[in-house]
Amino acid sequence: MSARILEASGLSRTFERRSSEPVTVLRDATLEVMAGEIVCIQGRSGSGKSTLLNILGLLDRPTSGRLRVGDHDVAGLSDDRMSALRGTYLGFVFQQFYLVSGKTARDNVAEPLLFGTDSERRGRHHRAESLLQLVGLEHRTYEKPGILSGGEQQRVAIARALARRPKLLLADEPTGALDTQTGDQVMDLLVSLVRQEGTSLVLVTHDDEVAARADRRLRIHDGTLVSA
Amino acid sequence: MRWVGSFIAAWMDIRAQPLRAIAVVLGLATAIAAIVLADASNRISEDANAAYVEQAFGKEATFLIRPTDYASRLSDYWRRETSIEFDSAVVRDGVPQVSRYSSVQMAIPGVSALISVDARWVSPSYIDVASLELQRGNWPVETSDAQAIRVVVTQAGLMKIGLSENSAVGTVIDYFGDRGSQLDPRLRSRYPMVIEGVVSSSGRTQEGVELLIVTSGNVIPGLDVYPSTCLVHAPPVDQPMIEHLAQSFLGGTDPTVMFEVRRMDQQGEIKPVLDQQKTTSNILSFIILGVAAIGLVSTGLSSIRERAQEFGIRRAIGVTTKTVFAGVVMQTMIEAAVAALVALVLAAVVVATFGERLILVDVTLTSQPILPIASAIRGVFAALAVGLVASLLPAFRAAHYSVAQVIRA
Repeated sequence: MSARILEASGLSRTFERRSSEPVTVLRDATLEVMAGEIVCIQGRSGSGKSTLLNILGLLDRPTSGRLRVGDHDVAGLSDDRMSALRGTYLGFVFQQFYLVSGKTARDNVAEPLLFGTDSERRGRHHRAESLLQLVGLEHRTYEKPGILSGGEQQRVAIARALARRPKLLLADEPTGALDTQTGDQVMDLLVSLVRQEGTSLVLVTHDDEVAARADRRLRIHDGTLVSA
Repeated sequence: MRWVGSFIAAWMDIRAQPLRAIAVVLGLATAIAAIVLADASNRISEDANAAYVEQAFGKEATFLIRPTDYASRLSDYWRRETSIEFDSAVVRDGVPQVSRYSSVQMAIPGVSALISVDARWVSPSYIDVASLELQRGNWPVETSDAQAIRVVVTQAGLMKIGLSENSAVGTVIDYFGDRGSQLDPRLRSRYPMVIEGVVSSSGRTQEGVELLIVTSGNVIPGLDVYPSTCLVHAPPVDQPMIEHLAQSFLGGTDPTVMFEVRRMDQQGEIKPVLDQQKTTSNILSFIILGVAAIGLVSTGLSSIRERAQEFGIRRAIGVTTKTVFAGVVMQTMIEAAVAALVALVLAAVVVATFGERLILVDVTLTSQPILPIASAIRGVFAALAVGLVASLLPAFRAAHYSVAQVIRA
């Protein structure tokens, strides 16, 4: 029986607004992610997908509900503890890649390792080069993002997300900025890597083809999470 | 050892934005170089002045101690008694070189008419204290029992009396005292005066004196004066002690200070100028530092805005707010340290090339000036202090970006 990586129950998020009534964008969301599982969350724009992903990624706190990441109950954790938990448990892949333009592909991948343990920091270049090889970009190791294609940049971003061997990868529209063919290639790579590394993946997308690769599909509608 | 990672990240951030880093370093280096040069010019001027003073006056400082206006109005007897007591107190406090003097006016026969001479009654030790350069003859040591009073004449005096330097020594001239109410000096008594020596001048502190009457006695025939003013030669560090001593002599029913102290060597003349220049350059330095700091804050904030998503990602991968804050501070401090090094090299070159033009006063340099270590240290501290202060606001902003918002943006 595989271990539970993430457990969310009754998550809600309400945003207070000065000039008008508070808005609830996430209602009573309950979700479990098991080790090595790929879960896809689909929904229209503004349905609450990103809010849910931010909460699951410890980038935001729920207004109510309970969230456990690994053995840690997130409620009551300080910001610094949440940051530490993000660093060790979670990895992120974003639609816009967010690579640092002045740094080489290797330095972008090694960035999380700089802030890791001493051994991670010392071995960061070796680890970054291995990951670049894994995503097929060993020939781009010393190139800066400006001369990489969109697909290559996203592959560097995936390598960066895997650098600290996270237990859960959170991907927000990872193919949203890529053409269909490149998007397929990136998804193939992403799925293959998480399978290979035994990493869980929570994928937010509105693309059915991308969603079809998931083990389980959920749909979010007006802030409510349901099985697809 | 998390700071090692932060330091490496800070260094890589600098390398990732080389043009920005170069602009920051050059801007700050220019400001720091200006501050270092202002400080260096002060210090070199002070050193040059001190070297000149040492060369011209000896290592000791020269102080003039004279009665205050209040004391000058007291009787001759009282002034004399107080001055003798003050002399003893100064010597007792370990200041060996004390020499009294008093300015007198006398008339001597010239070629066609009487000549009025600016003379000075001085102690035998005066030549040492005033650092006079004897050019001819001897400096009289003891004249109290002599038939004629003995004098040393300056070059200015020689010209006025009409004697040549070669023939002056040994010449006896008469003088007319200033005692009594007789306005026509020719009707006063005449007294003989022997010229014993010639000095180039009466000393830098005694411009315009033509005759130096050397005697350790208390009375000069025909001249109704008493030397209540004195010159003191003492180490500069003794200045507070001498001033304290002078201020401890009080007189009158409501005690009033009897003596005032003024430094008379070139240090005394130039120090106020140097101090004023120092104050001006310090003010300018603070303004320059302020402008540099504002520029640095502005550049920092702009850079932090541009890099918002980068900081967002950094927070997303688990970096704490403290580490982000420390990283931005470190980055600015590294740039400030590099700017300080560039500034020091620049300042050292300027000092080596244009050192003489940096001197604030008209003195001759005894050696090629180099950048003073103290100025360099001050520059490094200024750069680091500005870097630290200017980095705080940008670092705070960077550390407190909302991760979700900047990523969504």
